[in-house]
Amino acid sequence: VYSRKIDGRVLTLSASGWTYNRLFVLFDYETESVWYDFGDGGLTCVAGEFEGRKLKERISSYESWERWKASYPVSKLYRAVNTR
Amino acid sequence: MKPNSRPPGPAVSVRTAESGNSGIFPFYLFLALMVALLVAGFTVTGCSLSDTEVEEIAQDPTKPVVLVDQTGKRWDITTAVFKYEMAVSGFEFGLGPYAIKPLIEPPLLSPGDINYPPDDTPFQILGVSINGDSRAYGKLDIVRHEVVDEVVGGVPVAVAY
Repeated sequence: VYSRKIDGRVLTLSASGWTYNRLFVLFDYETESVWYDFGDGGLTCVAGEFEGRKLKERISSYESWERWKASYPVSKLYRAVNTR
Repeated sequence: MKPNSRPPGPAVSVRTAESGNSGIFPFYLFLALMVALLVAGFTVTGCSLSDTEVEEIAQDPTKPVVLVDQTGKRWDITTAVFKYEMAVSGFEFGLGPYAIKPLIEPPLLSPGDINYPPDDTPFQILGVSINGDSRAYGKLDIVRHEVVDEVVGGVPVAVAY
């Protein structure tokens, strides 16, 4: 999970269609800057208007629903309609 | 430089996206394109295009490096290559920017909603909690979107799988 606010602007991040070393390369709709996670705490803009800038990583957990709910009992949930 | 902008100079390193999944194929395509470009734009005087020459072109910071994806969109990755040392050959697929669409602030289930699953339902989630706002995204539900653009606890975030 990454912040998507920079210089007071909110970016819409999306997959670029490219992978680099098997990891997704992201871009933003607003400036078409190219973003990549080098594993150093956020997304680095490697090409485009925000080149050299970073979108910081926010704490997130990848775990079972059961375990997450034990920590956050009133958590909201996104599930696609056709999956149950 | 905007990804779509055409590079100024005539000597451009161009790599076109492959349509398959092979990791080796795009490099051959790259080589083939380089040959085509050289034949079209320059006089090739009896020299064969070796790997070394391609590397020399890709390592000349005065020339833009442009990827062309499967939709024909051009991506200027000059700074990625020269400043961040990303190898041109590491970029793969190039499906185009709209092949994988992000979810933008999708509707969520809340406790009490009819489809809200019981706590012991076995599935994996990516969870984030900011300013007391807790949200979970089913792994299999977001994987085909890759990114969910969200506002959690008033903070705009991108949930990326």
